[in-house]
Amino acid sequence: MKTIEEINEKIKQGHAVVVTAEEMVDIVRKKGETKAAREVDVVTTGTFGPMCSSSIYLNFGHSSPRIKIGGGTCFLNGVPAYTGLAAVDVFLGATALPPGDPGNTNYPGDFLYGGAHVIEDLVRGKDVLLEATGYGTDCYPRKELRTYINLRDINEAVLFNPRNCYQNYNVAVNTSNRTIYTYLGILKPNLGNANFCSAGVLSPLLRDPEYRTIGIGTRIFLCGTVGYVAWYGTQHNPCVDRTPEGMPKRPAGTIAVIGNLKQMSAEYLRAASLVGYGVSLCVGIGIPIPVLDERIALQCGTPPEKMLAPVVDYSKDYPQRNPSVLAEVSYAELFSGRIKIKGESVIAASLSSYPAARKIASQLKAWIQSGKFLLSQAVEPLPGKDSGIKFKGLEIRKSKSEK
Amino acid sequence: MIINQRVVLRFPKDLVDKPTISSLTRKYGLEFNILQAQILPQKEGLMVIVFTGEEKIVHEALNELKAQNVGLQTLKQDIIKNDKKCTHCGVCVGLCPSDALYLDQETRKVIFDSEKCIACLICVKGCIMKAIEVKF
Repeated sequence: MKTIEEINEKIKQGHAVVVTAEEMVDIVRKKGETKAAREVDVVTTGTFGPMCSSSIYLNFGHSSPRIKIGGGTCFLNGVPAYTGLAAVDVFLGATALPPGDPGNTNYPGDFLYGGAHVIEDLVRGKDVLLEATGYGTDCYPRKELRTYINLRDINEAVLFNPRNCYQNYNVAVNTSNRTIYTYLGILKPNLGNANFCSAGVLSPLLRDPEYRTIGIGTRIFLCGTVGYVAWYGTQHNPCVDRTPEGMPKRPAGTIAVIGNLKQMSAEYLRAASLVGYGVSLCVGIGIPIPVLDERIALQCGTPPEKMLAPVVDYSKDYPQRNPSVLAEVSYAELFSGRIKIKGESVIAASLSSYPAARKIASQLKAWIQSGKFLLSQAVEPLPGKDSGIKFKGLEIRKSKSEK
Repeated sequence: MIINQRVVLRFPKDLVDKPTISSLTRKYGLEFNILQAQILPQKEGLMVIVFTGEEKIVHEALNELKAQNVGLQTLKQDIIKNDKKCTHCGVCVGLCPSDALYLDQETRKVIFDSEKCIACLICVKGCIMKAIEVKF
């Protein structure tokens, strides 16, 4: 058994053996997990795909005279920001839309500009229009504000994503006879295509499937800079069925991540427009996994044939919250470009960019090899498969506290 | 040599109600496949069409269209993948009905083969980066 301290010592001295998860699959296939655990110190992972539960919080600094935006209104390039915080602190979510956006009234809507686009504009160094109102107080007398701001001038700009890196998400298909528009893209009728969103063998949480190393405080690659795992993500669902290697067979874990927006790069942070669905933010994340024992080596090197994802019908089962699964397919099949569903061969495509995931895993590998990125020991683990935590649905009911 | 020539035609208002294409194809003995046809808001006509026939004859026919004041543009320059915006996710590959979009086996980057494109435009809708651009 190795420890993170030992591995960090090796990193500082430039001796650490660092491989990407793609390389690890080959190593474990050729040498077995025992040898791999001895020889390899760190496995790097990467992913770049739409992650809707992403946001930024900002502090603009005070104007003269001061304004209380908290409890008032705030628009950035016409997109509403959330103002329930202090005077000049606001939150902007990736999926927020300008009030004039037609949405799906002219179905399917295009969703060409929203919160994610403002976030990308800020990261690209563009000037962004800030329009705010406050109800006015003695200490904050100003009631209106209109100015351009730039990422380099404002105080804090923090990327905070309540749910990213969804472990093992659904493969979506459409069995109805009309085209549907979903967060997993356009789905053609009668099993016309199948869409998934995963970096497969490079996927961070699929390489540490039981969350033995990734936890609160884990240092990660986030959009071109260093970030951290802040908490478990919303809908974190560790107690699903798993394979003997520990791979979940259904959507499982998620993480919340945090980092300094000012250090990020638009190469790894891009706004997305999903027709008929909405705006989202593509986030680039890479997580290093310390190979502490044989089981971690085995999990980092599990081949795609042994990783399984559920195929779900998004025309009726998904919207009606029917838990039915049409098939389980392996990631080897998904990445071959065609999967078999009920005897039919269906073309399979990803919304997550594999070339970008490769680039992230390689970049993180280079950072670690150069000695400038040390692994952190998680301060608290993510809730695991023994925690009893399950992703529940919402029951619509009356208030229990009324007489 | 038999060629398939894909063109985008713009018909001025005064030609919209004339049987320009059927007269042309009958005169020159060409086969044709109309991929798109619409009357635009200013009452111009827009047509995306593939002519199949002997190369020399197809070009003669296209010249006759130009002489009739029909605007002409070959399809290659009309649908492009903007590689500055494309993140190579590959979702378009699953939508393309004619294999014009596919993944390079090694790099898994998305390649656009404009020769195979039939201008159905589903990739334009489906691309989440809006990286596929239509110029007609």
